[in-house]
Order: sequence, then C-alpha cells, then structure tokens
Amino acid sequence: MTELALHLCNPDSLANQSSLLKSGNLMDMQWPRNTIPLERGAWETIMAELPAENPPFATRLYLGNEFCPYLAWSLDELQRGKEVAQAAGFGLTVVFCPQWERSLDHTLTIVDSIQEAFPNLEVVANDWGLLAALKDRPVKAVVGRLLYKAKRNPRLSRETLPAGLPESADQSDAVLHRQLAQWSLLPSDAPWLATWLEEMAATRVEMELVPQGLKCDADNPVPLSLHIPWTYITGGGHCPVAVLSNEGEVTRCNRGCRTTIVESTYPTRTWPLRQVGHTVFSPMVSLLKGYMEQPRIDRWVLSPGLPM
Amino acid sequence: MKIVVGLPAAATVEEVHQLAAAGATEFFVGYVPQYWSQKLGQEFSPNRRYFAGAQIDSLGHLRALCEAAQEHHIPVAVTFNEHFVTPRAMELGRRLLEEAAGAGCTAIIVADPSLVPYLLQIFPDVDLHVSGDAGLYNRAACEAVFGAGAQRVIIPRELPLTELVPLLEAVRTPGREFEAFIMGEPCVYDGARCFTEHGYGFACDFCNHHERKHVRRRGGQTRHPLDPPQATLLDNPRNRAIWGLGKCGLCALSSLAGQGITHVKIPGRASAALPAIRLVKQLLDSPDQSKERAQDLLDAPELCASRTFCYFPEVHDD
Repeated sequence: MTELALHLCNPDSLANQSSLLKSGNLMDMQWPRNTIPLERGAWETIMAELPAENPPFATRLYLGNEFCPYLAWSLDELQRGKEVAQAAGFGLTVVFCPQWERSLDHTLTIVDSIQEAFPNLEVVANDWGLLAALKDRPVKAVVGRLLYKAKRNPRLSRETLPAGLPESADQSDAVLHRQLAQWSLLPSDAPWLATWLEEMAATRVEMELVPQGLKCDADNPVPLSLHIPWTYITGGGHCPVAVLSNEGEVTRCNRGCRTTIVESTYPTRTWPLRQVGHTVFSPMVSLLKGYMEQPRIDRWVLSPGLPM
Repeated sequence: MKIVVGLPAAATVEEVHQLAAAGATEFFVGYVPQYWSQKLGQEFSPNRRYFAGAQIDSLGHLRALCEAAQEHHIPVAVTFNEHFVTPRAMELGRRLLEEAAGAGCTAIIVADPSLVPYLLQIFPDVDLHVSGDAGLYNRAACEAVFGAGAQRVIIPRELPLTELVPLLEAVRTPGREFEAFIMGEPCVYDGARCFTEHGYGFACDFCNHHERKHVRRRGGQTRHPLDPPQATLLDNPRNRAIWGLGKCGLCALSSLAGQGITHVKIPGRASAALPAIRLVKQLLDSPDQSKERAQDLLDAPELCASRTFCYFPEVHDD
C-alpha cells in the first residue's frame, strides 16, 4: 500500500488549505487564484492515476522548503504545522534546504524543538552536513531530493532525444543505450554510498521522476519516496526574479518568486521548464506509469503547485 | 597560498612549463581513456565534463604532462568528481585511477563523499580532495569527509565570504587543506545541485539557453523576455576581455588567505588559464593585496562596480 503525503512548501498553505488539512482528502484541494494552468494540470494528472475506488487520502504532511534558504519555514510556522498534523493524525516530515554554516545550528534547534512534541519525526536533509548532524538525534533522517544525484537533464529520454546528438552518442545506438541504462540506476544503491548512508543512519531516500527512468536494487531495504509531479532540474544563487524586482540590481530577496515564474524553453522535443526564483523544475508526471511497479517506492509525496 | 589550474585535453608539455613559469603550483586533469568513451561515451563522464575537449584521452599524454609537472615539483590531481558513480563506472574508473596514479597523479578529486573512504582503501597513498560539487557547506559536512580521510575540501564557489569565514573558523586545523575558487568558469547554477550536463556547445546544452526565457506574473498575462543584466557592460572591450576570464575573486584574496584557504583554484579544464594565473600571481606576490590593488590589476572598474563578475561581491560591502 503506497502512502500518500502532501507537501506544503509555503506556510500560507496552512490557512489556505484548511479543509484539506482537516479531511486529508486530496480532492479537497483549494486552488489559489494565481495558480498557473500547468500546476493544476499536473495535479489533475496525478489524481487520475489514483485508484478510483479509494478516495485519495493523505496520511502524512511534508512541511518546509527544500531549495531556497529565504523560503525556509520559521520555528513558529513549523510549530503551527506540527499542531495541524497532530490534530488531523498525520505523520510529519519536516524538510530543509542545504544548510550553510551560519544556519546549521538554528536548523538543528528547530529540529530538536519539533521533535520533542513529535517523537516519530522525519527530517529531510538536502546536504551532507545536515544529514551527518542528524545521525545522533532521535529523529528519522531522510536523504533529500538534492542528495538524489540522478541526472535530470530533460534530454535523457528515448522520447525526447534531439536529432543532432553530440560526439559519441551518435556513433552507435548501443552507446546511448548503455548511457541511459547507467543513468537510470539509483545512486544510493551503489555499495559505497549505501554504506555511507547506513553509517549516517538514513532511513529513507527521497527521489523523483527522471526522464531515463529508475532501476533499483529490490533487495536494498531502504524505502523510497517519490515526489510528484514536479522534478527538480537545477538551481543556483542567481535569482532573476530578484533582478527584475529591483530594476536591474541584485539585492535582498523580496519573495518575488511567490508572484513570478520564469518560463524556459529547451531545444527540441521535451518537457516545459519553469523556474521559481533560482530553481528550475519540469512537470514529468507523464513518466509516472513507469514508476508504478517499483516495490521500494512506498510513498508518493504530492506537491499541489511548484514546490517552492 | 598555492594556485591550482586545470589542464585541458590539448595541453602540451610546453604549456605545462609555461603555466608553471607563470605561477601555477598544482594541476588537475580530466582523464577519459578510450576504453571508457567507447563503452559509455563522453557524455557519461567520470568528472562532470561531457565533451572530449576537457579530457585527456591517452595514458602516454597524461604521463608526459605529469612528468613535466614533476620537473617543477608540481602535483597533479585527477578528477573523479561525478555526483554519483555506478558500479559499472567504478569498474572502469578503478582502472582509470590506477593508470592515473601510475602516471604520476598524486590526488583524486571526488564529489561523492562516500568515495573518500572507499577509494582510500584502494589507493592508500593517494590524497583525496572533495570537490566543490559535493556541496560541503557546513562544519558537519567537512568533519564527515575529513574524518573519512580526505586531505582537502574544495569550498563550493557559491558559498559567500560571510559563510566561508565561520566555516573555516570551525574546521581548520593544521594539516587540513582548503581550496577556493579565485577566477574563471562562471555559472548561474550551483555545481552541487545542478543535475544537468553542460559544455557540449550545441543545442542540447542546458545552461546555454537563458536567452530563451520569459517571465510571467502569476495570475496575470505579463510575459516578457529576460535580458542578461550585463549586456551593456560588455560593449566595453576591456570588460569583454576580462569577462572572458570568468568570475573573479581577487578582491577577497587577502581575506581567503587570512581564513586559512591554502589553495586557490582557476577552474575549467578547457580555459585559457595563463592570463588568469598571471593576475592571481601578481596579486599574491604584491605586498599590497587589498581590494583596491586587486581592482587596479583587473582594470575594469565598471565590471567591478557591477558586482556581476564577483565570486565574493560582499567584499564591496566592507
């Protein structure tokens, strides 16, 4: 039985999605007025994939932002989220973006504080340091999507290969086939990384839909969470929204990404790209069918909009 | 403070001597032998570069470059810094690394921290450097890899000075090495969290397509192209020449040295490194390493003022 989890990246969702958070029924989703069609369309595709005879009930909440330090939830916001989770009987997973040195201690303080009132807390780390720091804490450490290092280049799919391939890829189809086969392997199944993660006491790996598909070791006991529908592609410190918001100067973040999206095109046949702040996503929900039969994926983590 | 420079596929023995004379004190190389590229192609890389121009492809060439470097007592590191390594890639990679060590490479650069203890079991006499693409942003991450036996941490280029300073205060001890980017190879995305490929220079190259972007207001119809902010700056030929060197951190050189950075890097195995080395070396040898002196050397005041060219723009806030 696959567990359904709802990922709220924006603390405002605690108020905006009050009916969903009471019922857990994903059909109770309230769409904000500024939802873009691609977000709603991707969500509806997921809903269509769920078994019709069972109402799609979420039993777990993911709270927090995986990608941007400026959008990190405060302790108060996470406390409110924790109370919502407790009231509705949800499991709780808190999510953190990569931690730079000055934020690490503060984040660990937040983890300790939430954990005191929520003993089975899961904590998602998106950098090696936070993951290491969780090792000796009474929480379930989870390997985040930014530590799931599979390639997400939209070109890496048989369906979307461009006509002009580079260098050796066009020498023989066999080379390309071997490349895709290698790229589809689950990184954390490699023996050296599996040992490292075991030493870090990691209990779960978060991953997502990637164009080349997934092959994983069925005997590895670490369960997998599948984030849908948005696949993270790339990200960085250069924030075009901040540039736009300040007439050409990069200044402090004013959260313009809450109201502005950058649309990217990528050459040749491929999926659309959407950049929020400094983070690029692609809705790869059409790949979901290829993941349905993976026995290690025991949880779907659903984001109602772009996960920022 | 040592200057680390990448050697491209086309590097010659003469160029090694030139780079050494200009001030390079350490080299790194990409090595993709034919048995790798024939089986997996250049695009399935052992080292985050996906085109032949960045990779030395013959053992004889690698050995010749290492021998030339040894004449100047300059160590050479081989890159094995793909984000993750599959078991098949490790089969080929082990042979690749054995050959590189035999040719004279004395260090391996990795981005997967789990490879530090793994490779040290196989290559106990080789130093392990952890790439900036590992994203070691905090003391817990650095302690984990140093505890596993790494010799050096390469500070991710996206880490600002305001974070680098407390990080080094927390983790520097005698014997540990830290490397920071000083000039070259700008990218709007962060190496540790960019899961695309780059450097093909053809239509598949993900990060070369910013000009195709548009901006849309949520809930509205506004949609307009996103112009690069530096467009007018590059009308000036001097700015354009300096821009060609890639990002610059010269202003922060004295701060980096003061914080315990032992090595500065000029990245990009296919870059034309000589002018960058000369600038860095000139400042290193100068009794005055202030940011004013650094900007005088660069001689591109508009570019400096724009901050769009800086690895450490916060230096200007002092």
